[in-house]
Amino acid sequence: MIRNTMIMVIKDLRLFLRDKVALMLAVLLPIVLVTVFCSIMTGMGGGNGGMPSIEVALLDQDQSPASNAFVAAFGDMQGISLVLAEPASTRDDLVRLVHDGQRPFAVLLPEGFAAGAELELIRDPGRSMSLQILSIGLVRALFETRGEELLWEIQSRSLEAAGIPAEWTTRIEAFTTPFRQAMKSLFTDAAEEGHVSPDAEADGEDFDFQQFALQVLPIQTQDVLPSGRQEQITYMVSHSVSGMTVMMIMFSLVGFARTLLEERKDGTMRRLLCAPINPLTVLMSKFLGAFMVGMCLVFILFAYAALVFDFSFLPHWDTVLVISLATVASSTAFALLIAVVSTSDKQADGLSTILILVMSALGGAWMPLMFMPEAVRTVGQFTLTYWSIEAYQSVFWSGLHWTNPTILKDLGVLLGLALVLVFVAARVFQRRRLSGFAS
Amino acid sequence: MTALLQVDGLTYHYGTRVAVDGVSFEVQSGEILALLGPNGAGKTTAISCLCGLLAPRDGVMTFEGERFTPLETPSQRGRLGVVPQELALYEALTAAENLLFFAQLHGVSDPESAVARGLKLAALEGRAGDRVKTFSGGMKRRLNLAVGTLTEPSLTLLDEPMVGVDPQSRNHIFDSIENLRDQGRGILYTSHSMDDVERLCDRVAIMDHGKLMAIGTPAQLATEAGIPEADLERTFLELTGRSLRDESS
Repeated sequence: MIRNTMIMVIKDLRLFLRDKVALMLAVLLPIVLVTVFCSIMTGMGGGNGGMPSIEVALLDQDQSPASNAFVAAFGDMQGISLVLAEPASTRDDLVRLVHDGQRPFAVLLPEGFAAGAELELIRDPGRSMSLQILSIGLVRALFETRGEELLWEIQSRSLEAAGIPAEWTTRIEAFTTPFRQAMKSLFTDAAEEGHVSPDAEADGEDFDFQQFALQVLPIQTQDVLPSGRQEQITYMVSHSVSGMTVMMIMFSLVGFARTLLEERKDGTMRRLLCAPINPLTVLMSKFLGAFMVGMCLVFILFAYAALVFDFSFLPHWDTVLVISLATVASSTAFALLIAVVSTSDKQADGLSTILILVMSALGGAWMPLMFMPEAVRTVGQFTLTYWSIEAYQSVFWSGLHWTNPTILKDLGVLLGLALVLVFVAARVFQRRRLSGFAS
Repeated sequence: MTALLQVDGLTYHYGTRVAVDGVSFEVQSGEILALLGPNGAGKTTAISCLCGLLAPRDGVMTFEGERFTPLETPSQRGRLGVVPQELALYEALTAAENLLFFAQLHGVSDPESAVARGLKLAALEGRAGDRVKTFSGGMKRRLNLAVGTLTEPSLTLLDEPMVGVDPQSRNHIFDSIENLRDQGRGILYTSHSMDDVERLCDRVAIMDHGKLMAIGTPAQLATEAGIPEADLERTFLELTGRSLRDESS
């Protein structure tokens, strides 16, 4: 059986390599998709950790040093892309931008902003996730611009919100003002004695709000970088490469396994089944041939990603190899089942396209599942794409070795799926053979 | 004399439809038996049972004196030569590669010699390295026949081997088939061409609605049908009727 399987594998690979158009599509299409997705997800190396930027229109009507400082601080925040409106623009222009969907958010710095006038956020309420990131950016920029005045402003507004009468707030301000002045004097003395940098204090440069917040809040933090992770890799790059590779491998393997249908159509299947071989040899040879093609494609895609996106998989070559073996085995089994249950090319095309796209969407090949609702995350676990991407992310992002229980679990599921799918494909093939599908 | 192939009461059902209904015939060594019948008569189904593609519901097949169950016994399948009606060739492979692939798959002891023999039979020695997709219909038909007889089987099943063939290739295929018969091999031949059958075949079996209507030499069949002269087409129409048959087999 092994000898006959190898004879047929060589024949199938020879046919695959001779179809230049199909070969180019099988290799180029995944490369194009990996490029497009990685570029979209990472903003072509925008350095924001892979999060897409939120576009915010900003109109500065104050044109003061304070408003300029706010614009600079706000624009520096990762994940926010400022689009400055023409100085001649009006508030109505900003509202129209948001209303027409040209920008999801707009910020107006009115005249008197430096003197304490409120800035205005004009927002599309449907962008709730972006709004959270934007709010952090606004708070940070306000702190960096207004500093201690903002603290008192927050305090007085909090008192007002808690129902404290306005005259009480004035009284509280009266007895806290000397304290604040004393604190300021203390900082000045400390700066003179070299305990703090007066420049940093004065102009806010090098001020890290996030770092400051973590220092003053009762939170202990510890940065732990997984030992195997490359510094330059971002979550979205590793996710896009894994997701697109898994999806495109399935498409390519279905294309290869579909030769079963072609052999039925052109009569060669009849000839194969009339030969003195175990009929399952036909199926095994398709599996083996598709598996080899799949492994080559995975290598090509990862090598391409390494060249273009600084995505080096070589430091983890053994784990990547083991995960790829399991991923390609399960994808090949899936492709084989599609080819066996379909009775025509159109059926195979339709069925495979629907299933692969649905599995890719639910399994997180397009977008990390952490951005999706709980229900989708639960359903996603029933797809082989989910387990493949989880395994790849465990090595690319978390730097785990394949002997780690997390990856072993993923491998177990993938290999279990491969076995079940191959078993079902073999049963369907045998049943169809006996009912005369090649006669 | 023991028949090369003996078929007794062969029966096959597609669901509730009886495709082959108790058909019995035999093929002798050095004989060409034609299996004729209108569309849907059950010819291809009967041949599929002989090839091991379908499991007969009933009946006994004996080949070279042994009980013949090709579906269950893979080794028996290789003992028959099969030339399907379709051009069952890999178009992206060359003529030599097609022959070599099937020779290896059938476990031919000297595949290189088998390839050379096949190329000679198909008269394609000069095109051995060319891909099949560059061949004419006649060349493909010749190669189809060569692949089916690679193992030098004692019995070959030929299913419509002349479809779409030019007169020269047709003549070449005739010569090749007659040559096989002259070597003492048996041939089971299905066709819709009465001319082909009259030229090649020693005996004719006529099937209709899954049943064997008659079997014998063309002259015997004509006499049975009450036709004064050995006119196979008239005999065929007399036995199977003139109504159109549009169902598929």
